[in-house]
Amino acid sequence: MTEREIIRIEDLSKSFYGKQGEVVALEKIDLSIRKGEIFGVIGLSGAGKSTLVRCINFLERPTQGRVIFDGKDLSQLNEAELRLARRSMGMIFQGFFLFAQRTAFRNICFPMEIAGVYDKQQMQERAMELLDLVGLREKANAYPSQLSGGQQQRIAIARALATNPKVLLCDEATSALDPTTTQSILSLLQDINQQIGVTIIIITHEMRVIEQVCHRVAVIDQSHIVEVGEVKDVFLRPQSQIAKQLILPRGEGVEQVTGERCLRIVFDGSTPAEPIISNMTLSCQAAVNILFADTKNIAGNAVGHMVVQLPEDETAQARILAYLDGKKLYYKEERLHDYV
Amino acid sequence: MTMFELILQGTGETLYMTVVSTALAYVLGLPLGLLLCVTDKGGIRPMPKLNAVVGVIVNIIRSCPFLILLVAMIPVTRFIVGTSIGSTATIVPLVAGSAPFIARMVESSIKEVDAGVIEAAQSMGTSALQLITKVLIPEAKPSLLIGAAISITTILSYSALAGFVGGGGLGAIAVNYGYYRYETDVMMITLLLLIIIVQIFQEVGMRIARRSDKRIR
Repeated sequence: MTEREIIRIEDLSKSFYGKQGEVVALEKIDLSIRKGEIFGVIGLSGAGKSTLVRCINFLERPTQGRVIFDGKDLSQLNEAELRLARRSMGMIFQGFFLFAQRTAFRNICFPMEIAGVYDKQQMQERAMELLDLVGLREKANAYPSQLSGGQQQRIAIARALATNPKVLLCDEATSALDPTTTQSILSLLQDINQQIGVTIIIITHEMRVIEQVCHRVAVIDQSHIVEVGEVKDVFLRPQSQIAKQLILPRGEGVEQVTGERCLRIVFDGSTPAEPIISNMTLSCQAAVNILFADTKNIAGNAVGHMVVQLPEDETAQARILAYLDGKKLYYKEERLHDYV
Repeated sequence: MTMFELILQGTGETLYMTVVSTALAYVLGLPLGLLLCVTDKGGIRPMPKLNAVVGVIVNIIRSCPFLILLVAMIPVTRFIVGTSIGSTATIVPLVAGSAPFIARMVESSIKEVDAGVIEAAQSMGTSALQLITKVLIPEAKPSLLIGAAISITTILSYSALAGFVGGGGLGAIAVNYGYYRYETDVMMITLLLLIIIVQIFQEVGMRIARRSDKRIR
């Protein structure tokens, strides 16, 4: 375990045994999470990502393999030690799961009551501090049923942070929220990460969540990690089929599937002012069909990508490729149905 | 003793039996219900064998008609109270007969607590005991109170039944005067009083439950 690591997952597998026999949820997962980073885990539903996050805090005990958290091998701990370790890992959920019979304030106090090491005054001060952090001081005495979804998730975040955890696990934390509220929760998570340096692990099926806040990402598909890397790298040069699908979602933009040659051109912000495609068609004397285009903000950089269909004339194709090479743009020829 | 005094005393005895029996039945039934819930296969400490044994015992007592239980328990009642006649003696079979019923009521209330909320509490390092005292019971409180209102009215009607076998209270008056002496007016008055008491218990119970529930805006 290196000094920069907070969590290391080694050779982790998890199977469930049900009526249909063994169901493999995770197989041979290796991951290393660095201190202070926002790490994303993306996959389609059923890929095993929720099981993975529950294996990190041992809500689900892995069938095989190890989870090393802050130097401790969780599989070696007894129940009481495990509960102690969990206090250093906050968790928030898609369904918020606040205590319905407690006020927002008393929800935030709960983990401190459980830990039993805070006196009443400390608890009150800490809870108010957290209410300020999530911007809901005026809602201290409101019950969850009186709060909107976004407000409930903010209280859940405050509650998860109450005992100063080193890691915050987010299990589809924004999936039940509308886009605007999702944005505000994501920027709250980003603020918290920068202000108090807590490591955040975000489980999601939405690429935009990863793009917006994560530093690194793991792509999980059918119980396996298929790709890990910096978000920008994975976005620019996705290696796995599933990553490509997640980046360019099915049914978005492109309707016609052709058998012809297609290029995915990526603009990483190095040539911002130049109208690349217009110049390309003019100088190559060849028209291209734009099938999909989008720009994203990845970690503060404007990054765009575009899928174009090449003309049938092979010399025109060659001219276009040469032009793109000359401009040092990253492009990759793709089979169109990888994306659509 | 005038008839008025008799009925007043009967009402007092009925309330005494009902309230004390309910309280004692909860002392047994609440832990039993929690046990059924916690040891269930989806519970926080699954123990299938223990769960099955307790479940069967609870069901056996519940399937036994209360009048039979009253008579069958006479030796036990004598052993505990010293007599099998009167209000205090009636409390023994009332508690024995209603505790399993209460256990099931408690079980169903506790099972209403969202599994996600329990998981959230576990993710914070909550122990099983803390989970019961600080999550399950407080979160299920409104439902538990509704269950208590239903239980207390059920126990009230059981207590009236005990009048047939030497128990006290309004049930005994209804049996001794209304049934054996054909004094229909006494029968009607005791019946009316029982109805009023049930109404009050039910209404007050539901009102407390509603007021305690923070899920309603």
